[in-house]
Amino acid sequence: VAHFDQIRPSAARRIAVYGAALLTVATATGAAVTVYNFTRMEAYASLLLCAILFTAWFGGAGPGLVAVALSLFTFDYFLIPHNHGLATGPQDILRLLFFAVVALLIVWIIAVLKRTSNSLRRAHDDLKANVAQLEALNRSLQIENAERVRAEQTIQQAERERQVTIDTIPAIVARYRHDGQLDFVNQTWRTYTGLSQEDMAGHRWGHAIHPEDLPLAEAAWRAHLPAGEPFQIEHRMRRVDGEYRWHLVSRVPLRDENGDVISWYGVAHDIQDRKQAERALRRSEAYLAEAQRLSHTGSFSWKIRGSDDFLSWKDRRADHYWSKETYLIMGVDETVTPTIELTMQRVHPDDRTLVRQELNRALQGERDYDYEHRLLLPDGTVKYVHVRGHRHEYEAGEAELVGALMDITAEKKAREALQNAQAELAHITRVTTLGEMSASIAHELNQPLAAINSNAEATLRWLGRDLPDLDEARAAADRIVRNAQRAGDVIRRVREFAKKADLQMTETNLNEVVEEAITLVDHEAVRHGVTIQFNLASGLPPVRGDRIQLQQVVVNLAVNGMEAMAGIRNRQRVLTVRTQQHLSDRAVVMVEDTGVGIELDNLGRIFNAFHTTKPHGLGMGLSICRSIVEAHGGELWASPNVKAGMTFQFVIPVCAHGSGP
Amino acid sequence: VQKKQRCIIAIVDDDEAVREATKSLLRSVGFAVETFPSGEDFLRWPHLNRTACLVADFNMPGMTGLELHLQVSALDESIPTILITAYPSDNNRTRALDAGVLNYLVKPFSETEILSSVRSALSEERNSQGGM
Repeated sequence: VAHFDQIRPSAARRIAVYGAALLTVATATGAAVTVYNFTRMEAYASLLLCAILFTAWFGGAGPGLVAVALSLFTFDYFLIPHNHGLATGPQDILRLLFFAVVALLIVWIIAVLKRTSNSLRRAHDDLKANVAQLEALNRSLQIENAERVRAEQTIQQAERERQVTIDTIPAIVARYRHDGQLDFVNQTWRTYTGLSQEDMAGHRWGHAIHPEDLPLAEAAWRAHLPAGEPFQIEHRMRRVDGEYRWHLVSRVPLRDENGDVISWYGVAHDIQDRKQAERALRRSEAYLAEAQRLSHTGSFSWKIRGSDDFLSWKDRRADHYWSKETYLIMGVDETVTPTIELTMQRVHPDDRTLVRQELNRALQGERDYDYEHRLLLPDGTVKYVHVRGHRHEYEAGEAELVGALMDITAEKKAREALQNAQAELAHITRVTTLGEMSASIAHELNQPLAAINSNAEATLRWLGRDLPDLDEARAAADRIVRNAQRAGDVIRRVREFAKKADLQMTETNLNEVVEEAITLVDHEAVRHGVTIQFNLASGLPPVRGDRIQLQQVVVNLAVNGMEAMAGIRNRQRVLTVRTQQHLSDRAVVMVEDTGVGIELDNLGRIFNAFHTTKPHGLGMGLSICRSIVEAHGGELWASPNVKAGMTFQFVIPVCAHGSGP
Repeated sequence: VQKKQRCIIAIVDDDEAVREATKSLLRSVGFAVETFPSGEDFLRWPHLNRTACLVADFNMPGMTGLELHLQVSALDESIPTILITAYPSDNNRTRALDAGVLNYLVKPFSETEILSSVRSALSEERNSQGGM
């Protein structure tokens, strides 16, 4: 019923409620009748009032009034005066009225109570609902608060981490306001400069920048603040120990969603080492350029890929580099891009084949190359250059030819002048030697001339006989021819020996050189009472040399040897001339005498120019001999013999392909 | 007998060309000639006593012409000697003449020089033989 009171009563409920009112009144009436019948106690009024109270309480005012009406009827009918008829007397009516008043009062009180109860219940329900809502709201707030706390914690943690990160990163970081005023520096900044965060308030941060660079730094700010574009600047920062070191400072603006600059972030990197390296590099480059200028040496590089041949690269603009000096040597303007084609244009036409071969060798993997060639510049100037290079391999099949190009024109000309001077000197000493041997040469000529003369006279006589003896005459005539040839040979040898000629390096048989040279001094040996012994190696490979100059060396050594034996009386005067192969690539000529030898003190000086032990000697002979041998890539030295005398010997390279005569 | 025996002209020279040419010249005028490449070879010749004239080169390896002349003289072989040289010197000439050499000829000598010298030597040799 209580439940039903809380909702709008339906028709069925109303019927049930009113039915219940009827039933309640009927039950109370029945109970009162029963009680009266058994006990003769009149409990009508109390029981009916209970029924009315019950009905009014549970059914409401309407059913309560119905119960009052029904109870009035029942009370009137059954109870006054117990005759089961309607009361008619005033007393009955008074009782009835009194009953009615009490009943209505009960209904009213009950209604009031009920309404109050309902109001209280509704108020309670409302309060309960409000409490529930408040509890739900509270829970929501608690959740929201917890989330907010967590968010704040997260933000704080992130801020701490950011701070730690900014402080920890090995870079000097600073933050600036939108107007460029410094408002935060990280720990690295503070540690580096020795300044504190508080120092940022004033202008003390300016102490962190070198005074000479401060105007530059401020000017950079002024230039870039309005545009709000990132920029970089290099300036010196003062370290806590007072040392100023170069830094690269990068500043980047932070913008809001409208694009307005709200702050700037700056990072400074220590570039002191880089700066020093750059300075050292610039200095090194300057020194290198100066060294190249002074030494007339240029450098070049050529990046290549794979192992192509020269032709495939000829027209390509590969990665070429020429130094300034290389441009100067090549006679090319520095604005011109170097190419291999340009290089080849400058190479002397007669040397292009050589240069192509060398380049191809390098292209095809040869690690080192070293050669000389000539350049022919557009104005007709000829230069001699010495090229030395190295092939440097990179990964991925790439390689670079790196090398140096030295202008050796002056050196070449000096070398040629020296060679000419040496040749001139050698010629002079040869002529001098011939002068000293003039008596011997005269003897060498007089012998065949005497023979010719006698044979000619004999021929005439054999023919002038009454009976000419033609066989004898022919034999004499043959001897005339042979001796004329012999005299011619002597003259030829002397003339060749005395000839002033440029150095002619040809493939030469060293044994023949020795034999011809000894022929020239043959009579000197007789004159000095010297016996000449030969011990010439068979199968000696040819050498590359100037035949006359090599003869000159042998003549000089032989004459020296004979003169060293001039005063010897107690032993044989023997001059032994030997040739031998030395190792696989050299030939040696030894001239051994049995003379007086050379004192050890003089041994170190005998090859010096103008050192002589002869009364009329120039002291150039052995010096020239050594120069000649060295010009042939060989060595000349002297050593005392075990028994007596000296051995002079020289060794020179044999021809690479030589296999011996 | 001795006159008949001394009829050969000996030529001693290490140079074969000179040796042969001189021999041919002397033979062409009718002299009997023997040649030797060295003084040692000549001294070993068993017919020294048949030598009417010795023509020797002054400068030879080993024994020189002058040494040969001295050795021959020492053997008491009175052989007129003519020294020839392609390398003349006054000193050698003096030494030679002082040593009794008949003549000192310089190569290349003329036909007249050598023939007259040889003839002179033969004449001297004949005079020498006749005086004995």
